[in-house]
Amino acid sequence: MTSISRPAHAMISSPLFRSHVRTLLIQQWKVLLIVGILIWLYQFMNAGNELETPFILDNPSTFVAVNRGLGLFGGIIFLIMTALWVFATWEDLKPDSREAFHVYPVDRIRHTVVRTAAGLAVYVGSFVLLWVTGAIAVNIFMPGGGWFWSPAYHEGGWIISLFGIVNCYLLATSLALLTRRPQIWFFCWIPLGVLLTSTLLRLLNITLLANGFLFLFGPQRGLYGGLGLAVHPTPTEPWALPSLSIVLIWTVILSGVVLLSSRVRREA
Amino acid sequence: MSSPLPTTIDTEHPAVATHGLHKYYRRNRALERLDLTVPAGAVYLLVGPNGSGKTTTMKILLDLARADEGSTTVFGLSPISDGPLVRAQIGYVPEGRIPGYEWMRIDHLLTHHAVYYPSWDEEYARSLIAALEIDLKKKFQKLSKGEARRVQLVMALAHRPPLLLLDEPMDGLDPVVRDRVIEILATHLAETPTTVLASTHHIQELEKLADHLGVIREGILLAQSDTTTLHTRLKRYRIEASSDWTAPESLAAAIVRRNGSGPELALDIWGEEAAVTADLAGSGSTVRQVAALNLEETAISLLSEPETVS
Repeated sequence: MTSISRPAHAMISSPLFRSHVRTLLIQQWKVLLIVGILIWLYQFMNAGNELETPFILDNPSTFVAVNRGLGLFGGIIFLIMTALWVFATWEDLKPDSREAFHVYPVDRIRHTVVRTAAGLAVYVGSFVLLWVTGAIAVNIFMPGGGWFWSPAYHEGGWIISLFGIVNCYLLATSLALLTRRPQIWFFCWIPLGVLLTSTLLRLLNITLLANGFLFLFGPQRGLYGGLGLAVHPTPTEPWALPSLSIVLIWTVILSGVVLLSSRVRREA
Repeated sequence: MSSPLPTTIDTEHPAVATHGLHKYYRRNRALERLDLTVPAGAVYLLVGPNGSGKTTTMKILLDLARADEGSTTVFGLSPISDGPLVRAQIGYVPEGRIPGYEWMRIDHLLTHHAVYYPSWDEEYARSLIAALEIDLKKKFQKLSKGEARRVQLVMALAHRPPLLLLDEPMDGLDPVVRDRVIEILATHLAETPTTVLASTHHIQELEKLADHLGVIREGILLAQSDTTTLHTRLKRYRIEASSDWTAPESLAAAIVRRNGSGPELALDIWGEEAAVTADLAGSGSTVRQVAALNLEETAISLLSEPETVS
């Protein structure tokens, strides 16, 4: 194993990681169940769109409206999942909790890394699992109803920023821990803030403002998109690949910094 | 006039030692030149008014707060550079409600907590839970202050750490449970070699366990010593003296506290009893009684405003 993957493997196989996964599941299983039902519901409804024979409506203009509505619905699910993860991991860095968790004999950075990884395992893992099982179910019950990677699922333009959110989290966490200033951690909220604001603007039908907002701050070309912190990797967008590569580089660098600093501190 | 009160403890094996700790929260002084020494195996009571720096001292030992100046060692290790190693050796009962996840049930919380400590003694934890009558099915956020404190005690004791930091461990406990906690602590200390640094306003309850006392006010350590020395050196002298009586020059710095006025005075004086009695008699007063102070009286005496002797 490489020098980075060894501590990563040790971390994931540690009792602490398992315990954090368990605590997160204990905390959120009811919410995850509700979100799971929503995801499946969304996929079954969207399967009608994919077939272009919506089971609810046959009026084209209403179809578009419903499609947008479904996009928004899916976006809300995604936001709930992300917010769950962000809230759960925020527990480790808010001032009171810092005190609670950091009385433990664990390096502070390592503790946050373990908790972050556990959060990823639970929330992103659940999201992916629910999505894949939902898509399988759709195709069992509605053959030809579309798979989770098909364009219809991206119609609302909402499957964005997963990398961005992860990267913002890692960047903000690293800075907060290294500078001992937890307030820096609020940087994590930027992607969610952008998504929520643009969704709200679109909901209010202020498309121009929404587009302007996304242009300035959005994940595609805006503030953190420009920093390579987020991406909307649809094949039709020519900027997607370079941006994605920047995102991946960021992920590797930041993960490496966090893991290595943790190891250095442990060995000091 | 320099104070004769002891502010240093000589020991070859300090469990905790701080040197010249300064800590300010913005403009508010929390600690000033704090030289605290807790010998290994001691039960050290750190007493002082609210806001005197007791909690800050404990936080610095855990690296939850960092001093502006000065150094700290716990079993010879620095909490800053050896944080995880230091914290592995500490059981901490914090002043507030900060054991971890508020939303967790107590059984889940303890299971999660145990993962951090390889030395966690599950059987001992169960006996503590039974002795303290903890309801494992309750969520932590639903617990009263006293119930939360009992859980915190289990979390601190069950991994049998060599150092216990107890920040107001009796706070919120009813008298029956307080008595039980004293018993538990006494048994724990008998079974497990442990150094204890405890801050408390319930001095008399911990008196039978304590063998060292430190008194801190406004971040300044006024005195620290073993309790035997305190009991033999600090005594209350009841004297009769004329209304214009003034303390002799030789005792001016040694009078820690003065009570009463007129012909009958109670003076808490630091020094050899025979010498103090002789000095008082030589100053024209009559010593009616000399009494030893218990630990709470000692603390109150040491914390009183400095005596002004005309």
